[in-house]
Amino acid sequence: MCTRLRYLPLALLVLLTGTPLATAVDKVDFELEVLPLLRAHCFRCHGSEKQEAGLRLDRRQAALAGGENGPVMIAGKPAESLLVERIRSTDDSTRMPIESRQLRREEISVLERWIAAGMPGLRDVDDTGEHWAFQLIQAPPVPATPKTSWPRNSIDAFVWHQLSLQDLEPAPRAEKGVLVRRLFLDLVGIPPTPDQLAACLQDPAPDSYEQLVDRLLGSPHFGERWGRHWLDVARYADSAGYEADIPRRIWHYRDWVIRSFNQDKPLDEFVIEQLGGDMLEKVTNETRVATGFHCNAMKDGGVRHESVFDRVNTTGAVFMGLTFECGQCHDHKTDPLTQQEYYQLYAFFNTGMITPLDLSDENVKKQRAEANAKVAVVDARLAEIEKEIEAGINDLVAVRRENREGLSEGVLALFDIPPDQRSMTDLKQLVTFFRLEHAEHKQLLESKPGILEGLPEADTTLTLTHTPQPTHLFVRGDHTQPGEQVESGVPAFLHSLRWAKEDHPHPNRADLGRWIVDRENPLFARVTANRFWMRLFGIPIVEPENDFGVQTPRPRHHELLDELACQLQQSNSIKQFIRLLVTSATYQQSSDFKYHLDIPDDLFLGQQRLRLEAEILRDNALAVSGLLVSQLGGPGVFPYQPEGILSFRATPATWTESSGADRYRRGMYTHIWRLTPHPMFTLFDGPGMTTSCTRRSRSNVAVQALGLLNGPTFVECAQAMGGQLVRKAGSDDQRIDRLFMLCLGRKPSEQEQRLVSQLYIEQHEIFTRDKNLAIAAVGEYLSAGADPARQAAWVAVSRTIMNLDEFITRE
Amino acid sequence: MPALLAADIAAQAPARVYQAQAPHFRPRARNVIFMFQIGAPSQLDMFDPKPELNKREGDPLPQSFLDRVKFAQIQDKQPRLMGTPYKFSQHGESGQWVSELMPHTAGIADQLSFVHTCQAEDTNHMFGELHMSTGWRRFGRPSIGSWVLYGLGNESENLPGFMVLRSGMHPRSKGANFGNGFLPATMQGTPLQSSGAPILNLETPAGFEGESQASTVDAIKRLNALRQSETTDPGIEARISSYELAFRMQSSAPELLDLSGETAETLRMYGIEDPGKPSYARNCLLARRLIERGVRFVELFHGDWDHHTNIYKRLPAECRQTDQPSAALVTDLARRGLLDDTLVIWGGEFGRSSVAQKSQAPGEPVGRDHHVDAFTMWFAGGGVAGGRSIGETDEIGFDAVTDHWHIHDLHATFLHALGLDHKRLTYQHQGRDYRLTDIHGTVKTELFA
Repeated sequence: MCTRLRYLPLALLVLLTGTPLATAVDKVDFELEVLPLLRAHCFRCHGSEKQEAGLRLDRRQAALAGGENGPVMIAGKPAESLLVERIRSTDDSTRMPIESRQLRREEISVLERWIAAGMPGLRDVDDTGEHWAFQLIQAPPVPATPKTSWPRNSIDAFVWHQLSLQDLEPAPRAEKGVLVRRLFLDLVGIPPTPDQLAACLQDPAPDSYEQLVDRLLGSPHFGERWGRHWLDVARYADSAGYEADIPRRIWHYRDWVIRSFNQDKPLDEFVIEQLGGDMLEKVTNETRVATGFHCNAMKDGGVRHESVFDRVNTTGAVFMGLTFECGQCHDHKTDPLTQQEYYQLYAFFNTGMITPLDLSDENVKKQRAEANAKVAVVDARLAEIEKEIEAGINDLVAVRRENREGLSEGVLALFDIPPDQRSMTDLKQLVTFFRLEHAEHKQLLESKPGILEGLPEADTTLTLTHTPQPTHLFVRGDHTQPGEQVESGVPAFLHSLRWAKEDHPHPNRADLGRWIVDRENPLFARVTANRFWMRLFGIPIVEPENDFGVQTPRPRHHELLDELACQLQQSNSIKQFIRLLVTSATYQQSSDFKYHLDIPDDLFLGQQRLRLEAEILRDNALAVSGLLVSQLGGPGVFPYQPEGILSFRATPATWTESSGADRYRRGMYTHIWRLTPHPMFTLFDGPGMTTSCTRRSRSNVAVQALGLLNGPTFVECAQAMGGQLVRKAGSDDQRIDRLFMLCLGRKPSEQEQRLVSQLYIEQHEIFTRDKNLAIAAVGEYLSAGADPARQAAWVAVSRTIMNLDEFITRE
Repeated sequence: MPALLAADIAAQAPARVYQAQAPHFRPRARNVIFMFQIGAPSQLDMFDPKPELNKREGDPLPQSFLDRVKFAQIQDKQPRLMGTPYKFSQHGESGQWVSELMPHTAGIADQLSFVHTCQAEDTNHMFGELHMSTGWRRFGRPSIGSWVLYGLGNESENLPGFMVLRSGMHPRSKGANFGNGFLPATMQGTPLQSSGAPILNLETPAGFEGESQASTVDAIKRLNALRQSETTDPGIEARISSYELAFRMQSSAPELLDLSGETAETLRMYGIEDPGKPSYARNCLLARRLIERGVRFVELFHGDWDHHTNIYKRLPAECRQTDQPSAALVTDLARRGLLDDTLVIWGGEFGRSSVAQKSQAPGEPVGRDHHVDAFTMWFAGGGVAGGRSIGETDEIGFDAVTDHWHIHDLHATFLHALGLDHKRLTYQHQGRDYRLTDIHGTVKTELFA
């Protein structure tokens, strides 16, 4: 992830929009327009690594000096500059850039105007000191409120301002029904019931929308919806990963996350506890469970350093939006992070050991302790016996060799070794031989399993505990080549870390957590605000959302981002922050595509239509069909999954299908075998869980359509829905209305009503012709006294609606 | 829509609809089968004989190599050369050298071109895989198959144009090996399940077979189209085409996956004992069937060749699983007249080293560490010259002495075989034109007849 470009140069964008170049671009913006061009086309051969023809263009002095062919840029005189001559050249052999297409007219113009202006912006030093994302967060002045009623809060003022620069107006507000469904899906991940929807639509209160927001933020399902987002970045799974992928108990951490969101745990505590909850002054089991965050790294016995690398890299990506991992082998190529500093960060986590924390109730603990004490007594006696045998080994051998019958040749050979020539192994083997013949030893050994039998399983969860040990830098990132010793510390280019030196000489994980949430940290609040924004708007303000390093230019909506970061810092409350976002007019815009104008400043013009995530897709289908069991938390569950998913594992894994309610729990409770996750999860872009996933992709392939059409879970939902519709009194048209209300949160249009009625008639005919088909189609959901053909037709209609793009989309 | 600023949305809604483009020049091949051998196979034990290495068995690796080599795992300060215990002999009229581990591959030596001087950069599997699969050592770029679909389009109406088959261990960098990166979502590879049914949910659920399903799919299409006219979201168009393809796959895919029509002789040739059981051999046969049905790019992933320890036991076992089916696929394509149009590629993300990797537990059998400076891949069909051996490594098989074939060169050459100029196959993303070969890559025409 080292050479990337994020933004189109303005000139190009202008070209795409068809807006005339004219006045809009008289001034040239180095960061937004020139630098991306230079990076894309020049620096590879004329930059820090290579200087073809002795020319280096990424430093001012060097660029002015030119190369073997003399100066290439003459300030104020583009026409006399060799660079311009070369990029304009029609001769393939001399034209720059040499290896790719000719620069476009508009791109050439950018460079010409830049030279004409005296090459502003190009500096002699790394511009990291001035990199936008490394500057202290300060509340930007809120742009003057325009003479409209559109803006609802400060977010809108910034968005309005940006739009007005291009003479654009925001998209209209979405219809209220769409908004209610959007809010439900975004905040709790379950659609509104028709009753809930009707209540919202009929609520006359002027602040009914805000009231709904507050109700949803107060719902226990809010913690599930937003907790699952967090579990993506926490790379949560119920097994350790790598080839062995051994199971682990860590679901208490998952539930901690849900609880934390529901309780609106202050953001700073939320972070500090996850990084160093075991090292706080007021440490509790609850804060210890939080350290499960970094226990979620994949783990394999032989490569512990890989897990520690992952902890450092995840900390960088999640909390700082930085690609720390480049520092593993060398100094970061673009960001001012040295390799030494990387290992200072490594030192924080190198002392964290994974330790199961026993959360069993006292009674279970007592039972287990007693049993373990008994086992300890037995073990002690066993060791004693072995010692006795060892002490008297010569006599034992002398006696036993008299009676050679039944002894193997190997044993006899062992006996024949003179005592002074016995190796340690020989001695051990002799002791083993005699203890097997020792009656008391045998009896005690056999008694052990009985002591542990029937003992209740301990209710543990993985946590980090502090175990001091030195950290060495790895030369070239190679763990087999330890270099100099380093102590824990943070990169020098960021704010300083303060900690209780008198208490511990080097900062620990909890100190690191405090450093991350420190108001002086320019990154954490920006990165977090940006990502929360992305969850609700589909696109982040800063692209990519996981790299705020030097390579990522200042975003167009930089001031909006800083406003959000300030608000987040001030409230220190995730719920308040989300409330701010969803109550903005910007959020409430229509997502109809016609409002997107395909121009640079339309980033927040209109909302996005977003396909639901894997778990939410399934939750949604279960919810509308009335099957969803909304029990919170607890151990993972095993709903239906097709056969064969678990074969080809290096270590065996089980999937004993849950019975009853557990089959219909929310997707986030489905047990996650990291190596072989539930196929529904993989099919709809669930995260890979090998490393932190800060953003899911949204693919659209035919096998997904097959999953929704034919997947047994979705078929069962349609069957339940069909049964529900048949039981409801009323006309068929009313049934269609209800189906639309349940699934899409709106009534059908006339055209849709007609189309669906026609579909019902068709399906009814099909099932009337073949009763066996009808009986199969309704499955186990045949309502008492219902005509199977009729019910089957409703199942088919339900199935149709539950496959619509709109059903799987949050609009 | 600011598609260029929002890869996420672009992926969901390919606003720009691509027609199948024409090749840039006359293609040698129309389809590709890439048999990606995950974990890095040991070329020195199979394809690149080094008598001198055998002679110098146990000698320390000369200092000049030691100074620059970057081992992935070897910790030994004084690694020692390790020859091969396997017997090499010459095969076919062309006299290509292949060891006894690969008798079936040896049997088709006259149809293969071996390149012994392939070069990678990253000694880490995950990044090595990404480099081989996407031309870029990190996540985020389109895979070769996606680039090919972008360049040439899909010819199969009933199946996705880029299909992925996996056996054994899955690639370490997972779906990124066949992802669409920033290209439209329809160009991503569609993986068949490696366990259980190859394509999930193919069967119409009980009760809906026949007319009911057809009427449902038709209604979904019409209702989606209504919504599309309402919202004007091109993402809905993409959804409509996924459903259409899915519906067609329901009838085409079972036929594809049903191997009962294959003769016993064919199954035997591939070494398939139980056609119902997933295996590399079954995947090879499925690859042929996919090509027959017009799928443009078929990629097989098979692992694991990562033999750091116990190589003399694990390598022969891997060869037994893969040698016969790989060779059978080439033979089968040839006898059906498909080989001329299909470029077949065999190789891993890098190769293995000429020195012994001693196990950490003393006395455990040895293996070979990763090696990126020279390794062997082979090619067949699609205009590839048969019986050719390209590139020489030095006497201990460490460095490429002639013909350096960097991964970028491989990619440029693959595209060339398909009639695509790697410098012209570009896609604009985030303000810049991207290529599979970045700013590198040289077409190696010596591969072709």
